[in-house]
Amino acid sequence: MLMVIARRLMQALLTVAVVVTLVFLLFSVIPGSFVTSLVGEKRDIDPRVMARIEEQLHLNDPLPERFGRYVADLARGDLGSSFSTRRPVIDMLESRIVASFRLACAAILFAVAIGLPLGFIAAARPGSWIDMAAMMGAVSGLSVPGFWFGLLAMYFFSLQLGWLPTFGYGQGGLRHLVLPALTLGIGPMALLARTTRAAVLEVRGADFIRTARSKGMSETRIVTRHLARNAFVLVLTTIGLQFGSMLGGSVVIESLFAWPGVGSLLIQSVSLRDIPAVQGCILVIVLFFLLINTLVDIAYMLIDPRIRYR
Amino acid sequence: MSEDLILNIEDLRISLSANGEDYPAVEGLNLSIARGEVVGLVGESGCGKSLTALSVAGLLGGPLRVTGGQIRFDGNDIARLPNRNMRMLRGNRIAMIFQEPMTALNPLMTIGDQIGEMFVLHRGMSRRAARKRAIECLEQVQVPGASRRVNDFPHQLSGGMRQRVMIAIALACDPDLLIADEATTALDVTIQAEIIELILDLCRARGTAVLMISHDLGLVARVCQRVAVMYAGHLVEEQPAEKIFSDPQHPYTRGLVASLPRLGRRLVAGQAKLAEIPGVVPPIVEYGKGCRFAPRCAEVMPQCLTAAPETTPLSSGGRKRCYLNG
Amino acid sequence: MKLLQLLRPNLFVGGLILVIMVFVALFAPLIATHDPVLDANLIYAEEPPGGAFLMGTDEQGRDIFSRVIYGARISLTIGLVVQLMNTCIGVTLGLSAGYFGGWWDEFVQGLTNLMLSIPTVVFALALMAVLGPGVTSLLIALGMTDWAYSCRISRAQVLSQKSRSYVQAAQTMGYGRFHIMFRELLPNIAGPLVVIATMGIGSAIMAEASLSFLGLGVVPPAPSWGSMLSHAREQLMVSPWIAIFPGAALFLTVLGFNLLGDGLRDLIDPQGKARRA
Repeated sequence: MLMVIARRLMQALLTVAVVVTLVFLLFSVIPGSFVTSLVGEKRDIDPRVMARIEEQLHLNDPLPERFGRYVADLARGDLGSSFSTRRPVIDMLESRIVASFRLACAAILFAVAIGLPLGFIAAARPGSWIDMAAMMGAVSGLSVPGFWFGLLAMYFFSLQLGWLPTFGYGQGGLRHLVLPALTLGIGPMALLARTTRAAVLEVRGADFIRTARSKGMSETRIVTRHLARNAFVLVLTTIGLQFGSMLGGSVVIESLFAWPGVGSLLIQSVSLRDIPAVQGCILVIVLFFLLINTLVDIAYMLIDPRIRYR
Repeated sequence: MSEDLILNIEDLRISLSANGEDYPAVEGLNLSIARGEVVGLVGESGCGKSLTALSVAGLLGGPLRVTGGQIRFDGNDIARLPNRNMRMLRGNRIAMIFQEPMTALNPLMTIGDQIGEMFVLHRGMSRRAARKRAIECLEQVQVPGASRRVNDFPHQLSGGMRQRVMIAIALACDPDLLIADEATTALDVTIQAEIIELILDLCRARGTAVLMISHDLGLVARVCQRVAVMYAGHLVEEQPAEKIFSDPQHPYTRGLVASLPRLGRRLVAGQAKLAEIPGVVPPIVEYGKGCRFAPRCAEVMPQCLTAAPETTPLSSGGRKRCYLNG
Repeated sequence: MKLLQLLRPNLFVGGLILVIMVFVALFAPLIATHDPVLDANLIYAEEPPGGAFLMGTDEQGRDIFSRVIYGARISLTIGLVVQLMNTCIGVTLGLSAGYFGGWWDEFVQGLTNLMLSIPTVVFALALMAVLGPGVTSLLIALGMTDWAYSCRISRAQVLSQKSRSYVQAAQTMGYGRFHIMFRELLPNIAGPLVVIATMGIGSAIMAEASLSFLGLGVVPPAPSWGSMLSHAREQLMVSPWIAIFPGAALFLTVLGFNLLGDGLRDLIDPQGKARRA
């Protein structure tokens, strides 16, 4: 089993390497944008100043050298300095990663806590009105634009009812976390409800459930001992995928709620053409996704014996 | 006499609810099995033999229900018993093995746990004690290296092995009746004989009666003491095994027997083609009022089309449902 | 396929919504009450719904109803174009990868996995940072980043159909490889692809709206539903209608595509070969 895990990790590292290279290539082929972004809107820069800046940033070196320097910097944890704030990008990212991570955790917890039971209940009585209502809800949850839902939630819970703060991080308390987490989690919740329902229905029709019934087992015991685990295995991938893409998927929601996370930093940096910051954000987002995916795959290996012995 | 019968099905009727109507999938079925007896139930796909088996175990679901007759198990009618009472019989006194061993086991549980579950459920044993018994069960079904294999997962076993595990599960609590629904159909021919032998040996040792369901008349007639033949939801003939071959009473049975390819027959009779019964089995919704085999019967008579024949006894001790020969 | 099957609720509701949306988009000039861009009179800024302004006015005094109507044009057009681009890329790559196999297949699969590792919106953002704002960059960014599922499904379908008799017959008859891929195989795998494409239009519309909301896609004064929502937060307390109506239109449209996709899937692809959600 260790062999399989090791192989999976190697795969992940390879993907990381490719992504890192791609990010570098993407931003290094922009003609002149580095310098123009750096100096801002000023049109008539003394060409000597331009040349000095270019040299400082090693922009005239051949591509392989620049790549080498980039990787070396990366290994040291140096993501360059932001064009707008002049601070090291890594410093800016630190607190933001924490903020985004908190948001993602809260959102996925909400999605799992509501989505899984909902899908389960819907599957218990397929075709009933509960099932239809749940699935209508799910399709709506998938279709609702996050930022619109967020605005509506803001309007009702904050402005009208005054229960919750409208936006911002506050002191990092729970009250500020509720609305953004709800908004970010509604899509995944809907998806999980559907996936769970499908998984339970699929497992319920399986032969080994019939065997269990023929053994004289009560329905409750069949559900807890045989159905639940097998269905959960099917749902786990979806949970992982949703969680992994939350850091990137929260871009819009973070903007809306002025949540100081990686996503909102990305937006700001793109508007300001702050290339190092954009690079840093993208790297963090993609790496997080890869990390979660790898962890989910490994968890799968631990849970499903069929995958273990390959 | 009736105390000897572990199972006595009388006038069983199973209905299928579809499109707002009730269709009689199985009708007027009479079948009895004595303690320790091995009885075969033969018929084509869709004739209702599996439905009959499921109704005995109380596993009919959804649109299928028992709507008439009695199923007497050890003297008591269980046809409409509520599920919580049936649960105590299922696995414990009435056991079932199904056709497809590859998917019949939970892939996430060890086979030891799945066998042990029987003891935890019906004998109140602890998991540890159940596991010990599970090893014994595995040895009984001749799985080599039982004490190691007990921790294996189903995907690590071959089809034949998995079916042995199913047998172990089914016989774990020494049931009075074992229903084997096409238990060897999905297995390699070479293994089929082994598994059948195993089932029969183990059941004989425990005094367990066996209801062996199959579409293979040849197989069933070889190993069973009595054979019952079903067609389109009706039990058309039931006789001691030798009689089914030597003196079949119902035209359908005769057709089945005749269509069995036999070694050396061409040499003797000069036959060039395999015998077959012309026509096809009608779907449930098209069952008529008369004998259901009449459309295909070579010896059909006018009364066959108006009303289905009653079950009448035969001199051999069996029964038939046919107007031929009175 | 009986006509009664078409009355399945998903299909019916989804189809109805979309027919209405398309109708609205096509006949926008006839339905709208004001000019969505030019009729901007600050006297009427932030009027509540009622009277001449069915859905109220925004902070510039423009009629929201008319802007929502014209917004349908933008959303539907961009959604269709983007999904068309993605489908073309995905199907071409997937078909060829499955048919030719070998190193090309390995390459395409690696590329697909890579695309799946990067969330669409993020990738689009990165591309737009490079290309600059505007509709063209938006189309390129969105049209080239969401082809992974069509690619995967096409490839899987080709692999399962490759050994079928009609393919072998065509090969024996000497038909060229591209003819076989696009004239023989493609029609037979169209089912699941149509389902994916339908849902894909919905996500494309959502993606465009998100980017416009962030100020990076279709910029004001063009009446994109997403950009109409971007200033709504500041006005939320006093004029919530600025947020409610464009968002509702967006929601309904995406819902329509999702329902239609679900319904189509039940009809065309009951075994779930196109498993996206």
